[in-house]
Amino acid sequence: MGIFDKLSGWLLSIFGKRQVKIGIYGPPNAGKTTLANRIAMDWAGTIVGEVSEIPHETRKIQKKDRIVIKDGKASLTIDLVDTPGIATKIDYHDFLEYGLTEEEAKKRAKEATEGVIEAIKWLDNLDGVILLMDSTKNPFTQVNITILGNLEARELPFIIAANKIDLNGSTPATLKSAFPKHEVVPISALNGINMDLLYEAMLRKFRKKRK
Amino acid sequence: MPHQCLKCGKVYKDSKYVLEGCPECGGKSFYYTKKPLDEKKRKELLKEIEEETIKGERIDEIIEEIKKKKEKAIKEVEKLKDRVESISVKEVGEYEINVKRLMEEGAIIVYKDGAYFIYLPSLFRGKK
Repeated sequence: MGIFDKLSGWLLSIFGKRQVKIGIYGPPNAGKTTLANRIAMDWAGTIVGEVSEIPHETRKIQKKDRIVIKDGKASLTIDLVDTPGIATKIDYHDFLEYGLTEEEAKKRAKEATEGVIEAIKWLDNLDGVILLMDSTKNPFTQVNITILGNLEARELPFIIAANKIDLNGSTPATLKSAFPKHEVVPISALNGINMDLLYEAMLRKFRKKRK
Repeated sequence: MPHQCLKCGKVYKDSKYVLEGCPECGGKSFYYTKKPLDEKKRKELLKEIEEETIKGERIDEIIEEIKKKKEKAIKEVEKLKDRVESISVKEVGEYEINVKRLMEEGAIIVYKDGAYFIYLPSLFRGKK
């Protein structure tokens, strides 16, 4: 560790500022890009990527660097990484329903599969994760269980954000009782509900130095 | 694109009903599509959604339901343990991904038509 690193580490410990890479992970259509856009709009005034109701819209990593989140005197600088949705099955037939041609649908399926691999590879570069779940759905899916187990094994700090709490059929309380050991923040990324709670949780969780 | 109520089949251009529920039948599940679905397909989708949600009125019912769903998901994940491939190609455009293997080992092993293709750099990658 160089003298500059030591000095900046000491300054950070006093002023409580850190720069961390935070990834948003979850199944397709949980609202990852909507959340990334909400965070980037709230703190940097720009968006990260396009959203769509057709699953697997994000098929490449999208990044917005140096977003500064503040709460009173505490602040956290994050490089926000929006990732493609992680799925166990990608079938081009599902995209045909949305009016895509067979060729377009097959291309989308191929890119979405590559996107899953890219998203998983990116875990090696991150300091923390927001695991986004859809609060209208059963949280115990292969994807959620696997990501959760892997984040625990990597000892990567993470927050579970239960999205879409403004929708009919949303059960954020169920999600809280489903994962009693973990921090679950119920939000609506689209309508900005409870974002203050999420920012507060991010500051608390991601400012800590990892062992 | 329009939203179709899965319960009664009515199509709405305005997405506000997705939040409020269908004014015709009170349905809460909508499908986003250019081509409205027939009744059979709608019923299939509703059944899928039913399986995806956690039911129960009382807290003990919900806890019991959570336990069951959790056990089912863990069993499904465990089943993948013995599979060597991380990606299985049924046909071009139809893929099955073994997320557990990819996350734990990062190995890209593709299975197609009885053959395994191993992407060697994914196995030789160095640790950070």
